[in-house]
Amino acid sequence: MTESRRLRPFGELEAAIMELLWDADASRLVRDVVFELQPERPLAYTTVMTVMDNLHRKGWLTRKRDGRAWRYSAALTRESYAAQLMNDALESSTDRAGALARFVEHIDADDAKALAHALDVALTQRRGRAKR
Amino acid sequence: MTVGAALLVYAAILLALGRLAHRYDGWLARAPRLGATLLLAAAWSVLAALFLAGLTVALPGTALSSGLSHLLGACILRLRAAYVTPGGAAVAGAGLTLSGAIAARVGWASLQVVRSRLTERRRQRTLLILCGRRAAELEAVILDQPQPAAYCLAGRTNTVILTSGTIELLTGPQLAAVLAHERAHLGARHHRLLAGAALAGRALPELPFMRDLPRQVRRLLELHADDLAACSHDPETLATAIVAVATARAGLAPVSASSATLAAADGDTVTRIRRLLLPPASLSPRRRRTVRAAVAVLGLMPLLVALTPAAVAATQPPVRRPISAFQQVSAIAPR
Repeated sequence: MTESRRLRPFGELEAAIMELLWDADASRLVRDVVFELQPERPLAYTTVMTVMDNLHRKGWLTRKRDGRAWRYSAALTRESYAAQLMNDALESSTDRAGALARFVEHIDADDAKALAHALDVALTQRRGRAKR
Repeated sequence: MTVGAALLVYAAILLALGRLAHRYDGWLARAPRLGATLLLAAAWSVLAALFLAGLTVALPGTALSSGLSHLLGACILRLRAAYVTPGGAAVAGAGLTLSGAIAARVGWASLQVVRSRLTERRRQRTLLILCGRRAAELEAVILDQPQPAAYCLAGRTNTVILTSGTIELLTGPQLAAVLAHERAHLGARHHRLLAGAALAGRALPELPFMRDLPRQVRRLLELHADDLAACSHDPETLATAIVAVATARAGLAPVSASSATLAAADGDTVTRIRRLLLPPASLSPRRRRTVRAAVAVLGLMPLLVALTPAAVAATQPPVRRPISAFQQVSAIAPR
């Protein structure tokens, strides 16, 4: 997963699998995942395998050989995934649908200094005005 | 043809004026919402003018003219004469291509806008499931994230979203001012104007005025939300909250692809601070009326120009041509 590429939110099954792996906090075989999803979702082994393979290809899962099968674990914690997702929402600038309005624009450290300075100057001027 | 040319010239003049407005936009900020409306009206007027220019050029040579003559009750020959185009089929074809391209691009842009809205909604739903909770006392959704951020999402359900980091960072009054700012966005339905700007920007991104439109409209609407929040909260509180959140985010956030927009965004934030603390005189009622009139004119102008010849043709009597023997026979013959 390259840094520049924008995250796509997970699909429903993808999310369910990621949730499972995050909750488990351990690696799982496809067989285990099928079994653990079982009560709510009776899914075919191949379906789950395909989705997990996709998640691995997209960089969300890492995997190791375990005999003839793959053992998968989450590449990223739930918290950092959520952080990335939110930053994507905030970063995507004006060329969007316009449904989302941020409180502040992103700025870098130098700009932050300039901003703090601008605040000081404006506050001083404002108080000067108020006195007069 | 003259009508088509007039519409094209009209569009070109608007685009040039629009560029000027982007450059000297201090006065737009004195009535930010009205300013945003004016820019949007100009952009959509350009799109309408280009679309209608194509249609009027194509009118005489195609079935459009008979449709219009039925609609207006005007004589078709007069109508065709009013819109007569030298160059015949080639020019008519070019006209239809122009109109078709504009319509197709607006359609395509709408699809994209709808698609990115759906993605956004899905993203927010995922976020809520991953680390969110609804805080009834704040009427907001709180995401458990250390970095400060606040935003709102309009749609079927309007939502204000805050991170737990924001709540830790800000004082009570600052938080209230931030919430008021976000609610002002939702209450004033800023997302509609933003969507209109996003559509125009995506429909004709080749034109600088159109390309810059979403950013300009967004900037003005931020100012408008600041104004509304400053009605019920101390502007100094809001200004310090803006600086606190922006500073805490600086360096945290990954630098996005286009640094040009970032540099501009910084200037925008400084403008917001200065404007909150040293508010400019708001636009006088008379000037406001003028701007509103301009918005109305921009809305009507393209259609007015396009239909003037047709309206003139409709008031004139039909052209009488000597009836040929064949037409006489076919008129008498039973159907």
